[in-house]
Order: sequence, then structure tokens, then C-alpha cells
Amino acid sequence: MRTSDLPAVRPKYFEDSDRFHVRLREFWHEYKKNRMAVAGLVIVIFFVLIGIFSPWLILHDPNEQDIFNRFQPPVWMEGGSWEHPLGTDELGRDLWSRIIYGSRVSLALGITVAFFATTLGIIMGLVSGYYGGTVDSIIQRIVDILLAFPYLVFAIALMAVLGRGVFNLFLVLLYKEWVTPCRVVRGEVLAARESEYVEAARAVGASDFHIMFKEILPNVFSSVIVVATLRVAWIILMEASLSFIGVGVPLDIPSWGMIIADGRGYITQYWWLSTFPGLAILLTVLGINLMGQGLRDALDPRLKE
Amino acid sequence: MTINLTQFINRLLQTIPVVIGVTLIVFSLMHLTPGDPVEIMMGQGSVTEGEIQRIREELGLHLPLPIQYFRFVTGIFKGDLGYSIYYRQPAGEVIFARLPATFELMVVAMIISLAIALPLGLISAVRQYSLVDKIGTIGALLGVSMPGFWLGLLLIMAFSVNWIFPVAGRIDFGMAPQRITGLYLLDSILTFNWPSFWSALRHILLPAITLGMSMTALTMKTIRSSMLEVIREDYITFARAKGLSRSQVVLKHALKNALIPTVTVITLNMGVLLGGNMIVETVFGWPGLGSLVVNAIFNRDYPLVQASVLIYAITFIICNLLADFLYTVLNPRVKF
Amino acid sequence: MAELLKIKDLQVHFFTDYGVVKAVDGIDLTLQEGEALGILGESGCGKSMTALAVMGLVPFPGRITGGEIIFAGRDLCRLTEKEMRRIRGKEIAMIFQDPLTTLNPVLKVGEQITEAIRLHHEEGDLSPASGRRGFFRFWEDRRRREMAAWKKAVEMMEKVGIPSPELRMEEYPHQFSGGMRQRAMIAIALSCNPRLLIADELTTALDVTIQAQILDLMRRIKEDFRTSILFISHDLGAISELCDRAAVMYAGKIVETGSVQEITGAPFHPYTQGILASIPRLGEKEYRIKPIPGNVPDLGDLPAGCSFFPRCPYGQAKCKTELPPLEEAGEGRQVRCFYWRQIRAQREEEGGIGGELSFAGD
Repeated sequence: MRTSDLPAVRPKYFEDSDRFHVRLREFWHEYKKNRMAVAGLVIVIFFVLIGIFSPWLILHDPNEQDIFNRFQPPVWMEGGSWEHPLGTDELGRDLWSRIIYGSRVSLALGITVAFFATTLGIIMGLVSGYYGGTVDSIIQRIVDILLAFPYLVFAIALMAVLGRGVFNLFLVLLYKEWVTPCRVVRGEVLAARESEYVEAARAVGASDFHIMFKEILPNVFSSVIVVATLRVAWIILMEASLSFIGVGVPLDIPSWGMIIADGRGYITQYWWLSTFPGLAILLTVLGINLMGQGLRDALDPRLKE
Repeated sequence: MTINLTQFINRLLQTIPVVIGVTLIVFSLMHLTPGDPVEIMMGQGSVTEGEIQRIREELGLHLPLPIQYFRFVTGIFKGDLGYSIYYRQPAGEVIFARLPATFELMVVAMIISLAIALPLGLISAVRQYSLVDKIGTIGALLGVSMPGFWLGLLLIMAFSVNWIFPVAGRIDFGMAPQRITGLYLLDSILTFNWPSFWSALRHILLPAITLGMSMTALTMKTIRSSMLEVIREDYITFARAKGLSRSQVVLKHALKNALIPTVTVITLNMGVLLGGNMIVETVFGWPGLGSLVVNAIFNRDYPLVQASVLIYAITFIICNLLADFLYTVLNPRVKF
Repeated sequence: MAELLKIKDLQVHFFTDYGVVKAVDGIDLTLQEGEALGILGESGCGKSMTALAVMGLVPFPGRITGGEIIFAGRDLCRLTEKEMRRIRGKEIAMIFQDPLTTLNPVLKVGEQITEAIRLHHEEGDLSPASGRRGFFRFWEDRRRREMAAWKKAVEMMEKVGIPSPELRMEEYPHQFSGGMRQRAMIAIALSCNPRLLIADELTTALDVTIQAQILDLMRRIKEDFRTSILFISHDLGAISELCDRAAVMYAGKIVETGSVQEITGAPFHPYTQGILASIPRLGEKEYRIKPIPGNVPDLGDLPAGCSFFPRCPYGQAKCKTELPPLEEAGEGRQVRCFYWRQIRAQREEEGGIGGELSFAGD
């Protein structure tokens, strides 16, 4: 074929399908077909909005104690008032305000840890899968060792040593979270390394960096996004567990897990203290799970159950 | 089934670097503590400088780190897991006294979880889109979205009113059966001590359900999806073409194939079970290893924490080995 | 020869979210005792569904919506599941395309053979019951049955040409080669001496040399066991090797039936002609294969008239709107085309395309 036979411009369809907004529109078209996924998205947006606007949504300072109004019931029960819509706890703190504020820690930690862990995991997975050999063995041995601990056991022990604190929590949650994306990416890279598109890129002299980030990464991105989303749900549950045990956030930052722990001693008489923060966790995690499943179905129909 | 001995030994050898890594991490856990571990353990005041010095030497903390690590590892092989400051006993003894309770809880949790997940997963795959399937799917989704400790508290709230199921402890006071294995359910059966058995059963039910919840949900989901995949395979149609009934085909031909991925998922979630155990034991006041660790953390009994974490990790490694073994038994195509 | 299987106006429809897919749309077939009938067609024309319909194993969301399948005097569509189970495997056996996916990977081959034998042989059939009475009798009988089934299985494996069958019984399917798997599957199917054997794309997944061996085996089965065979394939060569008669299916309907010689030598239907023209021939470089243009139509959205019309070189206006009937075109010969007479006349003038073909083994 002579060069003049080639079309002067790249065919239109190629450009169009490559454009980000076109792919986004296609994705959204797929996603919105799934009613449960849309419900999940709505729930997640709802809680994110609550987290962002919590200073305007609370009725009291979440740490403000009012010993004379302890154990107030929720508004629909006898003795309840709009002053404390969900009642008060053993120190007279407003449950509504505490739960609203609690969304901040849960969501902020969930999203940031997932983001950093995924970034780290992608890099480790790319390097591990692409270079193979010694680098791969070392990274995989580290992964094996990290996975040899039941996660929560190690996290609790580590938090006990490091002490309560949001940043410590961040580190402890991060320490294992990068493993999952790392494994996913590594697996995909191993498959991609042998594939023709990577071979073609190598044949035209592309650098390792270019091949890893420009050729392979876009192809594994959809599975990574799904994994990261589902990890957010998991991280929120872990944060709640750690705070429930009492090794999580500091005492002056209300977190859902800690609010449940505070109410734990009184559940037989004042059931609402532990029930409502638990419902908040359940709804948030459920929303994220539904969203993750919807993402998976829309991004990669192969993975559909 | 034939198990190749060399392959088995190879698999064992592969875990050695992991075990070394685990001991290293557990060891450095103690030394991560900001400040002097002994001072933190002892709390402020009330202890003299001399006493602290004495404890340091007792624990070997004045030695260089590599030697401390070496002593730590050789100690493990001699069965010496350190000395619990709070209980003033060897940590190993404290732990092993609590181990049967935890073991019993985990086994019962697993049995309950499989007893629910297996049939439910099977039915929802064979009768896809049926009512059972829909309920199962929603249940599984809720199960993975719910914090375990919260479910435990809900159960306590629900059953504390009429005391059908006690919400704390392992057995009613003074009912403990004669100790044979340390597992109350098993011991009471062995000694035909039915009141004890009943009491132990009532105590273990709620914690076991709570602990097994996430495992139930995940197992059910896996069985369902792998079953759905398997029943579309040609060999299922072929088995039906031989004249086998639908249930024979499902139970003999399909289930054995569908169990292979299920075993993998259960293994991956053994860690969740072991970790969740700490929380469930705390919620239900179950006198096992989990509540021991949590208490040790608040008592600043770091040697005990260290020893327990090590035990957890070793258990987990053994579980993984067992699962690999089971996997090869189930799947003739794979060898160790 | 007596009629063994007679399919009358069989319809198998799939009720999907996207509408009704007519996988099998009114087919008629007759199979004599001891005969081998080939069903020829492209993938997706409904030939596998016909086979599964005979077995009573049409998968969800499909259903037999009309017609009769009369096997040895009984309408299989009217039988209960339990009655059907007694026929499956014992009277009608089926073998599939890909032996790797057809044998259960986690069960030993021996187990998979004896399973069928134990299922269908009556107790006395395999071994006389032990005279012993009492508690152990049940176990003893069971053991004897198992031993007998085992012996029978070894015998079957020998018959289909698997070397050292006793050892192979203890192996798993993945330890077998492709051809051996195929043989093992045939052994399973034949273990209960079925009167009818349905082979679905039996040779498709195999190498050419193995294909020939398996076809040879099938021919021996037909002669030695006097088993009738329904041989489903898209490979006209394989069909002409083995079968006496052939039916050509297109888009869920039969378009032509006749003896293998007639179908391969003088096809009347344009589709059959198209198939013949698209077979490459050895040693004839000048001869260009002529693929049929276009694709198999969407079975969920069939045109009103002849479903081959969009791809037909002879198509007329009439074909677009009217469905041609299946016309008698000679002794045991049927064609579904308005213009088969013209096509025949034209062929006779030219000497015919298919007429030049000769098949090895005829």
C-alpha cells in the first residue's frame, strides 16, 4: 500500500470514541439502566453533602455536654423534643449533631485512604508486574507478609502502639489497603505485557514509563476504579470497628463507630443511642457497595455476576 | 487423589519467609512505641527508676535490637511467648487458657455460616430470580454492608428482654462441664452433661451468628455466582443427558465444581473471621483470645499483645495452608 | 425398517427480554431404525436446539411450544420428567461438541461412565443378586453392582478404542488427550446400548486426523451396535462420510432433505448449493471458493418470506413476502424453495457444481 492511499486524517469514529466526554456519556447511559446503582449513587451523594454541610446542619456543638438533659428520647417518642431530634446520650450530647459530624471522619478517611492506597497500589502493581524478576519477588513477599496478619488484629495492635489519632488511623488503614489494587493491577499487567498492543508500543521504541502509564494503565483503569470504590466501603467499616474498640479517632472527634461504643452500655434502656449511628454506617456502606457493583457492571460487562 | 510430597514440602518452605517477616513485624511492634515501652507500660508515678531498670533487664530490653530479636525468635521455638505484665504469668499460658473459647466460637460461627450459606446459595442459583434468590441477594448485600458489632448489639437488644439467649459469657455460672478439651459444647456432650450443653449452646449462638454474618454473606454470594456459571457448562447438560435427575446433577456434578472458588473466598475471609472475633468477643464478653487482646491493649500489657498477635498470624498462616490443601483435594487439575 | 424417531412440526421458542426467538420453527424429520441422519446447517440455525428438544433438555428461557417428537411410538413432549429420565441415557444418548467441557473436570472418567451404567441397568441386569439374606445383603449387592458396572465400563472403553482402560478409568478428564476424551464420551453414551445416538458437532473441535478416527469409530458403532444416529454438523464432509440421509437447516427451518448422494451431488435449494460452493477443494488452485454473502438472520426478527431471501442469488419478489412450503421433490426428497424446478433444470444444463465433488469413503 502506498502512503498516499492512507486517509489524510484519522477516521472520525476513532477520535470520537476516544474523547473523554463521549466515553463518559456512554458510561452514564449504561450506569443509569441499573436502578440499584442509581439508588446507591443517590445515597452516597446524600451523605457526602451531609459531610460537607455538617456545620450548617447541626443543632448543637457535637461535644457540648448537658448533664441535665441526659438520655433524652428521639422526637417521636414521649418526652422527645425538636431540640434534640434523635435524643441525647449519657453526657447530654445531641445525637443528631454527633451523627451528622461523624459522617465527616468516616467519609473523609474512606475516600482519602482509598485514593492514596489505590495510587500506591497502582504504582507498585505496575512496577511489580512490568519489571518482574527480583522487584516483583520483593513486592510480592511484602504483600504476602502483610496478608499473613488478620487485618483487624494487626490494625488494633498497631493503633494501640501508635495511639489514637486521625493521621495514625490513616496510616494504619493505608498499610494494607494498597495490596488489593496492587494485586489487581499486577495481574492485569502480567496479561497485558504479553499482549499485542504492548508489543506494538515496544516495537516503535516507547519507553517503559510510556508503556506502563500510557498503554497499560488506561486498560486496567476500569477494574481499579471498581476495586477502589468497593474498598471505600470496607475502609469505613474498618474505621468504625477501630473506633468502636476504642483505638480509633481521638475522643473529641465524633465518629460513628465511637458513638455506637458510647451508647453500648445503655442499649437495653436507651436503644436509640447505638441504633442510629449504626444505621448511618449501614446506609453509607450499602450505598457505596451498590455504586461499586453498578460501576463494575457498567464499566466491565465481563465481570457481571 | 494423590498428593505429591515434594510439592507439599515446597509449599511449606514457601511460608518460611512469611513467618520470618511476621516475627519481624510483631517484634518491631513493641519497638514502634514512641518513648520507653516500660515507662508506658508502668504508667506514671508509683514506679521507681530502679524498678523500671529491673523490668528492662528482665525483659532483655537493654540488649541491642538484633540480639533481642534473636532471643524473641528462639523463645518462640521454646514455647516462650514473653511475660504478661498484667497477669504476671507467661503470656503463652494466659493465651492458651483462652484459646479453646475462641476456637469453639469460630468453629460454631463457621458451621452456622456454612449451614445457612450453602443451601441458600444453591437454591438461589438453581432458582434464579425466585423469591429465595431475591431475599438471599438482599440479605447478602445487607450482610456485607453492616458492621458486625452493630448487628451484635441489635441482637442483644432483641434478646436481652426475655433472656432466651444470654448476652454475656460462655456458660451459666457453675455449669461448666468437666474439662476434657476445653470446648464446652464438646465436653458436655462427652460427659453427657445436657444442662451444660444447653447452657453453652444458648450462650454461643448470638456471638457465633454475629461473627459468621459477613462470612455467610460472602460465601452465599460466591456459591450463587459460581453455581450459576457451572450449571451453564456442557458437562451439566451431558450429565442430564445421561438420565440423572436435576437434583443429582446439582448435588454431585455442579456442587463439587462450584465449591472450588468458594473455598478460596472462605480462606480469604478467614482473616475477617479472626479479626472480627476480637470485636465480637468484646461485644458479648466472650472470654477468649479476642477480648484478651483488647483488654491487654487497655492495660498496656504489650508483651501479651505481641504474643497474641503472633498467635493470630500463625493461626492464619496455618488456615491458609489448610485451604490450599483442601483446594487441591477438590480440584484435581491443580497441584500444590 | 421401522421408524424410530419422527419429529412433527417441532417448535422451540426462547422467551427473552428482547422478544421471542424462534430457534426451531416447525421442523419435520424422520429417522429409520439403524439409519444415520445428518443435520447440516450454520451455527445458530437451530440444529443443536432440535437435539436438545429431543432429549427434553431445552435450556431456560426456551420451551417446546408446539409439535410432536415421537420416539418408538411415544410422544416425548408429553412424558413427565420422571419418564423422560428413564429414556435419557438409556434409549437416547447424546454426545457433544467439545469433550473438554463435556466431561466433568472434577470427577474421574471411570466414575462418569459407571454412573450412567448403574443408573440404567436393573439390578439383575448387571449381576444376579446374592442369595444371602440379612443385614449385609444390601451392601453386598451394592458392591456387586458397582463391580459389574466397573467391568462393563472397562469393556466399553475397550470397545471405543481407549488403550489400557483399567488405568484410564482412574484418571481425570484433563489427563486425556482430545481424541481420547471424545472416545470416553462416546463410551459413556453407548454404555447403556441406546437405540438412538445424537451427536452434536462431534468432530468440530478435533484435528483432521483425529476427526477421521472418530468418524470411523462412529461408523463402526452404527454397524456393530445397530444404533441409529442423528448426526448434527456444519461439516458436509463429515456428514457425507457417515450418514445415509441429510437434512439441511436454515434459520430454524428445514430447507432440503434427501439422501447424502442427492444433497451433495445435486442440491436443489440455493442454500445447499451455497454450502457446497464454499467448500475448498484440494489441489484445485484455479477454483475459487464462493462464500455465501451475508449472515444468518436474527432468529428473533425473521423476515416474512423465505428466510434465505436476503442472501439468495435467485431471489424474486415473491420470496420476500411468501414463505415457500416444503415441497416433495422426489423419493424421500423435499425442498423449501419456489424455484427448485428451475434450479434443477439449470443445473442439468450446466452439469452442476456439486456434481464434480467426490467424497472419500463413499
